[in-house]
Amino acid sequence: MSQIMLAVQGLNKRFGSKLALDGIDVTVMEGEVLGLLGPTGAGKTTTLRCISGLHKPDAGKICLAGQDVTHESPMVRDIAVVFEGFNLLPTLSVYDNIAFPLRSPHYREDESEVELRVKRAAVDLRIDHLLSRRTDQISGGEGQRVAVARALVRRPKLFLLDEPLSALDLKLREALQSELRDMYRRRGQTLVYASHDFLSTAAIASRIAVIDVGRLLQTGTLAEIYADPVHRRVGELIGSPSMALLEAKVRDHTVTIDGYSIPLQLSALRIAGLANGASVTIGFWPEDIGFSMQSAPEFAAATLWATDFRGKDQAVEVRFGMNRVRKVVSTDLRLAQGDPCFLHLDPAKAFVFATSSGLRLRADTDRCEGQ
Amino acid sequence: MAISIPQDETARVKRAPKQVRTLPDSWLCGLFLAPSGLILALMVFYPFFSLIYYSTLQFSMMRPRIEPVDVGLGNYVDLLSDNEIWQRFAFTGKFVLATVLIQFTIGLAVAYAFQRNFKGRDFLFTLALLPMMLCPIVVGFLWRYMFNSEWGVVNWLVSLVGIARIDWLGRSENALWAVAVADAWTWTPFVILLATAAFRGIPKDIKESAEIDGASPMFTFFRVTLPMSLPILMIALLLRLIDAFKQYDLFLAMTGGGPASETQTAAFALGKIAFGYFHTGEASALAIILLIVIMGLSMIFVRYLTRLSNRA
Amino acid sequence: MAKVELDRLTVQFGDVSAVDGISLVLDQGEFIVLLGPSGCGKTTALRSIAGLQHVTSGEIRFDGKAVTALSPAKRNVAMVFQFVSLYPHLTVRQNVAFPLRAKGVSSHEIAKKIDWIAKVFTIDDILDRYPVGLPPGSRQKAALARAVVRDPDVLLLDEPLSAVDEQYREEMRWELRHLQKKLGITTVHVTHDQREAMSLADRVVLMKAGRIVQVGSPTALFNDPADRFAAFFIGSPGMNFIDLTLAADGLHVAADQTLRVSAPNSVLESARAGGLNQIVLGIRPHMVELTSEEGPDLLPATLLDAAPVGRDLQAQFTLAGQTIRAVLPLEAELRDRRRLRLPPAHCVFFAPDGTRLGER
Repeated sequence: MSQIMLAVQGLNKRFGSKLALDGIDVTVMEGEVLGLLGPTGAGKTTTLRCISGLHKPDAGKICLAGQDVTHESPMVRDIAVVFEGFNLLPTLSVYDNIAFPLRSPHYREDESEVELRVKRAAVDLRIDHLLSRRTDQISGGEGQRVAVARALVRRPKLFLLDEPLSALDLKLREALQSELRDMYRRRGQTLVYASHDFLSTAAIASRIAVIDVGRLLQTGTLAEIYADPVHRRVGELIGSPSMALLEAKVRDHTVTIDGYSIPLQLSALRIAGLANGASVTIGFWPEDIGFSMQSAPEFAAATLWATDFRGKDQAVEVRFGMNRVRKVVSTDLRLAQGDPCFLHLDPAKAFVFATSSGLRLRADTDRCEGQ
Repeated sequence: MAISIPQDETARVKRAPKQVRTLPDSWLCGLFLAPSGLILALMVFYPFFSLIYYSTLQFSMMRPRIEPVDVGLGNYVDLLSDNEIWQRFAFTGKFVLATVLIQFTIGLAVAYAFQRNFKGRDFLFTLALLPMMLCPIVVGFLWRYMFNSEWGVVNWLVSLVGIARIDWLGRSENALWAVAVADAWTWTPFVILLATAAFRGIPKDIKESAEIDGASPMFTFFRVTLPMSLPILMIALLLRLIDAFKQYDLFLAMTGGGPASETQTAAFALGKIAFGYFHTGEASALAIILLIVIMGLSMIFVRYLTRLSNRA
Repeated sequence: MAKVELDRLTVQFGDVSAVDGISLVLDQGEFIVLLGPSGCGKTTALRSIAGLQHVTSGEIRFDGKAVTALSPAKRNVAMVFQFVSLYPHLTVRQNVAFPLRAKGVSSHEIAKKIDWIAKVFTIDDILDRYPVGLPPGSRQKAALARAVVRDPDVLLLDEPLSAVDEQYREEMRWELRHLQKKLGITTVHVTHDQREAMSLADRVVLMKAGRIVQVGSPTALFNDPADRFAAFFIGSPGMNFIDLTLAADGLHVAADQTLRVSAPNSVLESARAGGLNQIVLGIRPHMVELTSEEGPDLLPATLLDAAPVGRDLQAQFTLAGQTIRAVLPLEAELRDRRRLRLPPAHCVFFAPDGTRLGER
C-alpha cells in the first residue's frame, strides 16, 4: 500500500502586496509523478520553494512522509530540487557538483561512499565521461543531467523539478523527458514536476495539478480532467491544442454560439436555470469537434483562418463570428487559408462555463449567469 | 508500483542540526551601515547644519572674541538685495552656458565622428582624453599665457587672419569666453568619453534596423542615437553644469576675478567673502544660496531622467 | 513582393566558410524557412540577403536584378530581429512611422498607412504605448508591422519567436502564418526549431555546416528525408533508427537472424552495389504498428515502458537490444500485442554514412 509522501494543506504566501499562493492543497503518493501545470506567474515556483523550505509560507502545513516539516529548515527536509537554471556551482567540477550534497555537514559521508554514489548517479545519467570537466565546459543538455544527478545522489524522499527542461531545445528536451521518466520508474521516486508546457508535463506526470493565479484549479489524471474540467482556465491549459471556448447566448430554449448557424438545444446541454439572454461560454475538446471540407447535415459553415503542419498531422484554426477553434486533422486533407469548411458541435460533448467566473455549470446547478 | 528505497541507501542524518542563533537581519544591516553613517554624520551632516546655523549670525571666525550677532535671515536679505551679488550670479550663468555649449557641441561632434572605426582612431581617442588629466590650476596658467594680449599664442593666430589684437583677459566680455574656452578644453574629453560610451551602448540590432529602414546616417544620429543616449548625456550635462558653477581655479589663475570684480563668479565671490574678508556669517548664507541653486537644477534633471528611464 | 535568387552564395570568415556556395530560388510570396542547428550558416545567409553581411562570392538577385553590391537601405528589404527590434524611445506608432519618415513620406500618407497596418496586425490598442511595457508577443507584432508598412520586396525574420515566452509562441506562429498569407510578401525566416519551421513554411531549407541538406515542403522533408541528418532533425518525437544486417537472404535486425525485415528492391540493389552489409532503417514513431498477429515481417519486441501523452500513448520497445519508440492510440491494448509491424511504405533506408538508399 503506498503511503502519502507529500501532503500540503492551505499553503498561503504573500510577497508585499501580491498574493502568490492562495490556499494550495495537494497530496502526492509515494512513487507518483505529480505535474504542476500553469502559466508563468501562476505560483509553481513559489509552491516548490515553499515545499523545499526556501520560502517560509504565511500559512499552511507541509507534511513529508507523515512528518510535519513546515517549520524545518531546508537542510533537514529530505527533498532534492532541480532548478530551472540548473544552479550548478561554477567553480567546481562536475564530480564535485554532484558530490556536494553528500559532503555537506549535514549528511557527511566517507569519501569512498561519496565516490561510489557519484559514479553510480553519473552512469545512470550517462555523464560519467564528464566527471572531471568544469561546469562551463559542458553543454546545456549535459548541465541538465548534472543537476539531476546531484539531486539523485542523495536518494531523497521527494524530488522537485522546476521547469528543468525549458532552457533546452526540442530534441534535447525529448531525450531528457524519456530519461527522466525511466529514472523515476526504475527507482520509484516521487516527483513533483512544475512546467507551463502541457506536452512535457503530460509526458512525465501520472497526475496533473492545474494551477493559476496562486490557486489549484483541478487535480487528477488526464483522463479525469478531460472528462470533467471544472473551470474554463483548465480547458485553456490542458491539451494541445487546448479546449475551444466559444461565446454564446441563451435564446428561449436554445443556445446560439456566435457565428455558428446551428443553435444547440438547451435541453441537450442539460443545464437548468439559464436565463433568457444570458451569456455563457461553451467549451469543446478539439477531438470532439467534427470537421469537414464538404457541407453535411448538422455541420455549419466556417472559414479556415490558418494551417499548421505538425509532421504526423496538421492543425487548423477555423473562425466563425468572433469564435475560433483549433483542431488537429489528417495530413491527407489539402487545405489552404481562406477555404470554406464545416464544423459539427455535439451538445452531448459540450461543457458549459459561466462567462464571468469561468466556473463550470453542471446539470444540478440552478445558478444562472447574467452578463 | 512503488519500490521502497533500500534502507542502507538513504542518506542518514549524521548530526542533529545545530540551533544557530543569529542576529535579526535588521540589526546586521545596522551594524554594517554604522561606520559609513558615522563618517557621513561627522563630515557632511555636522558641517552642513553648522553652516545653516552660521548663516543666521553675523560674525567673523578670525575674531572669535567678538560675540556673534543673531540676525536671523538678515544675511540672506542683505545678499539678495545687493546688486553686486546678482551681477555675480548673472556672470556665472553666462559662463556656465558658454562653456557647456562649447563642450557639448564639440564633444558630440567628435563622438559622432568616432563611431566609425578608422585607422588611428584609438590613438586619437587617447590623445583627446589628455587635457582632462591636468590640474586645473596648471590649465589656468597655461591658458593665461596663451591668452596674453602681448605675446600669447592666441593673439598671434588671430593676427594671422588679419584681426587686431584682442584684450582677452582684461575685459570681462572677452574673459568670459577665454575662461570658457580653457574650461571646455579641459572637459570636452569627458563629454566625448561619455557620449562615446552612450553611442556604443546602443544595441547593434537597433542600428541595423535603422540602416535597413533606409535612414541616412544623419537621420539615424538625430532620431535614434541621440534620443537613446539621452539618459547618459543628461548625466554628463548635469555633472558639467555643477562643475561649471563651481569653477574657481581657472578664474584665479587667469583673471584673479578682475578687472575689479567683473569676472568673479558666484563661487569666486564666495571665496573672497569667506577667506578674504572673513565675513563668515555672510559667506555661509551665500554658500547656502549657491547650494539651493545647484540643488534646484539637479532636481529638475533627476526628475527628467526618471521620466526617461520609466519610458525606456 | 519579389522573386529572390541566391546564386552560389559563399561567405567566408578567414578560412571558415559559414555559407558554402548555396543556390536557391524563392518564388514571389513564398514563406521560406532556413532551418538548421546553430552554426549551420542560416543567419549568415539571411544577413547576406539583407545586405548586413559582406559576401565573399556569388550573387543575390531580386526579380532578376543583382543586389549583391547594394547597401541595405537600397534593397527595399525589411527585417525583424530576435531581440530588440523596436526603438525603445518611440511609441509603437512612431516606430511604425519611422521607415516612412526616413524616406520622406508625407504625414498624411503616414497616418493613412498606420491606420491600415494597425488593423491588419490588430495593434490598434498599443499604438500609443512604449515598447518597454509590452509583452514580447505584442512587441514582435509591432516590429512586424513596422517592417511591412513600407511594402518591402522581401521580409527577413531572424528567429523572431525565440525570445518570446513559450506559451505565447504558438499564438504568434498562428498569427504569423495567417498574416504572411494575407499580405503575400516573400518571406525568409530563420530558426533552429524544426517545429516552428514545419508549422510556418511553404518550403523548408535544411542547412548544415554552410550547405543545403534538403529543400522541400514540410511534407516532403517529413516523409522523404534526403539523408539521415534530415530524418533525425525533423519530427518530434524523433525518428527511430534500427541497425540492420544485409545477409545473402535479405535484411534482418542486426544480431538476430530470425528477425527479418523487407525492403524495396531498389534499396537492396543500392546496398549490394555499394558493398554494404550494414544499413539503417528509419521509421517515424507514429508509423510503427502494434499487432498480436504472427508472421514474417512481424517483429517480436519487449515492452519497456508506456505512458499516455495527451491523446496518444507513447511506448518504448526493445528489439534485439535496440530501442524503438511508438506512438499509439490511447486505447491500444498492450498486453497481448507484442509484435511490431514496420510498414514498408513508411520506412526509409540509409547507408552507415547517412546517405539515403533507394529511390525517393
